[in-house]
Amino acid sequence: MMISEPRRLHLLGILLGAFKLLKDFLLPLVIFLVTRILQRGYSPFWLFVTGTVIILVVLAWGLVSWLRFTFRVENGALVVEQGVLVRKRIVIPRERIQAIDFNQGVWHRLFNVVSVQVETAGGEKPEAILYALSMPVARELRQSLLLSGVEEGRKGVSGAAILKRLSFKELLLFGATSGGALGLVVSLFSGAWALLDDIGLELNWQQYVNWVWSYVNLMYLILFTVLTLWLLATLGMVFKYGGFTLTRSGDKLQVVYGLLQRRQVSIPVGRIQAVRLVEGVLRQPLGCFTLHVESAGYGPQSHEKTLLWPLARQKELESLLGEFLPEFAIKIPLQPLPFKAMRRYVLRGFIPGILLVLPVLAWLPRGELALALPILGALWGFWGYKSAGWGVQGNMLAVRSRSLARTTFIVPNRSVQSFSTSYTIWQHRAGFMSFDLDLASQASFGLTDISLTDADTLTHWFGQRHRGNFDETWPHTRDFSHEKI
Amino acid sequence: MRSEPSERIDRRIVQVWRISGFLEALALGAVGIGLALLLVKLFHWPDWVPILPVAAVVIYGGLEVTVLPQLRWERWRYQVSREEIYLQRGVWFIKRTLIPMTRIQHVDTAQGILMRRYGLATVNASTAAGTHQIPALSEEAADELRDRIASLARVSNDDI
Repeated sequence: MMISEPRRLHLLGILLGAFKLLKDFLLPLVIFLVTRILQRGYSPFWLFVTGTVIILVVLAWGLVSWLRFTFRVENGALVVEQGVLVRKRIVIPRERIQAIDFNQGVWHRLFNVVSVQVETAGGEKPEAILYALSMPVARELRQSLLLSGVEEGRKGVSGAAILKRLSFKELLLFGATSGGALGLVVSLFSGAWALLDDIGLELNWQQYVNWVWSYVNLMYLILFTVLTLWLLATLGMVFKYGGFTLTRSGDKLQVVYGLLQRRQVSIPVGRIQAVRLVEGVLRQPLGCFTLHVESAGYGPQSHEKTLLWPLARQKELESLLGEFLPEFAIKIPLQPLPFKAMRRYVLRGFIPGILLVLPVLAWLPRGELALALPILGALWGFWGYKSAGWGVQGNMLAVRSRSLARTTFIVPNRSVQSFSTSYTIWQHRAGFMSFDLDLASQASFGLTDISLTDADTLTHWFGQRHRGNFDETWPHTRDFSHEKI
Repeated sequence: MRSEPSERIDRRIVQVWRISGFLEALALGAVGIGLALLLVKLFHWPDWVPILPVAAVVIYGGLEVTVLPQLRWERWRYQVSREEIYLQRGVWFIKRTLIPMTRIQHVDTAQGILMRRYGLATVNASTAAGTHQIPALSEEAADELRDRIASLARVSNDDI
């Protein structure tokens, strides 16, 4: 089924267009109203008239932009025409579409309408947004856009859809370990601080603390605040990611989540550049990780859109990938960095710390406490060394590193856009090199201090594919399901 | 370790880098000294403060005018084969990059004012992940290389 005739959006689009205009001009409007009232005083009649005029103008705008907005699928391309003052025509060929997302705000959900976002490679924003489509039309549109030539060639392979739901227990754990609470605490405290400063309350720290101390046990107060914020953050995550389901049907992955604002992300498997396993600081001790995908449709900013599965245990990794992304489900043994590299990692954390701290030590009395910083830096460096590792298996490369969370990339040869090795003169003398590689999703990753022979191995691994002596057809015909994961 | 790329970039770039390095140092110096003078006049910082930016600019500018362009030129190498572009650059931090031909989306040549005076041009090769530069070739060589890369960068079916 194709949508070849130009079509309009759902009628709700009129209202949504009006809302959007109102939202865009809210600030100037409020300023206008307030100055007007301050200057000439308040009269109910004037307010009524102005209000009506504004509402009419906004609705008229919504109607006109709705009338001007049409879309169709023509010659395998999505054609969108829109714009009131400036008319715009967007043509997106099917082959260029990286992903299609459905979004539902509260209004959308009341009318069973979705906002459809079409993503292509590059660019910050979605290429086209059809901001109100009825569910059946949206599904039909997605169906006709996500069928690529590649998929048509292998109809037989795509089996029935498989589906996985995030259990409530996992959702809670995901929210509780998100670290969002920390952010809330920091922003709240700094906010309160700035506020008190603004009011002009000269805070006498010690007096204040003593005062609080004399009434309640401060420890309990802090504990209580942190706990409350943590619960709030968890609740926020539960609302945001509630009802998370992952589906794979044929060559299409689909992610749906959100209790209030509902999101639906569809990504063709062939468009996935790499898989990223993130083990957060709070999650790693529990043996849990988060699974992301790298897709060229989403830049580095759109972190949440690339979330494939929020929380799984380490031992579930094989089955999760095996079921939903068998293309990436290969056991890749990781090898650690050379022992000699440890010193370099530790120093890399230690030296900046000590440089920062030196002035404090020199000028401030009792500055010894600041020494904690370089020590922490050294520990952080050691941690990074312990976490780092890489491995090659066939055309797949796995690279693991840590800045704070431990992150493992699994990337097939063909997704790498460019590969670099680099070294400083000192590093080279010690027999080390660094490497990094760039993906179309603008992600870039690599490791510092691998041995020279390993750098060679990796360069060779990268050279294999494009020199043509490797399996060219990945991932479309090679079947990994028989391999042990 | 794989041997370095075979081709050097045009020798005349050394002169261009010297001039642009000198101008850059001059501009930076003007800003730095202006700021320092401001601090001395308005905020009564010690009188010797403006010496710092002057010293920094003299050292930086000195290096940029004397040894750095030569070193940079010596290190800069490139090689374009049927399968890939291979680059090497960097004075202190030496970096080698491989870009498969199948990943190249478009190539172009570009010239600044200074480069044009010396008859030099830069070749830019873009992939989905970013742009890679070969900074200084004679105009004819740059045009020739651009066209060669364009014809080698086959249209491939696997999209991105």
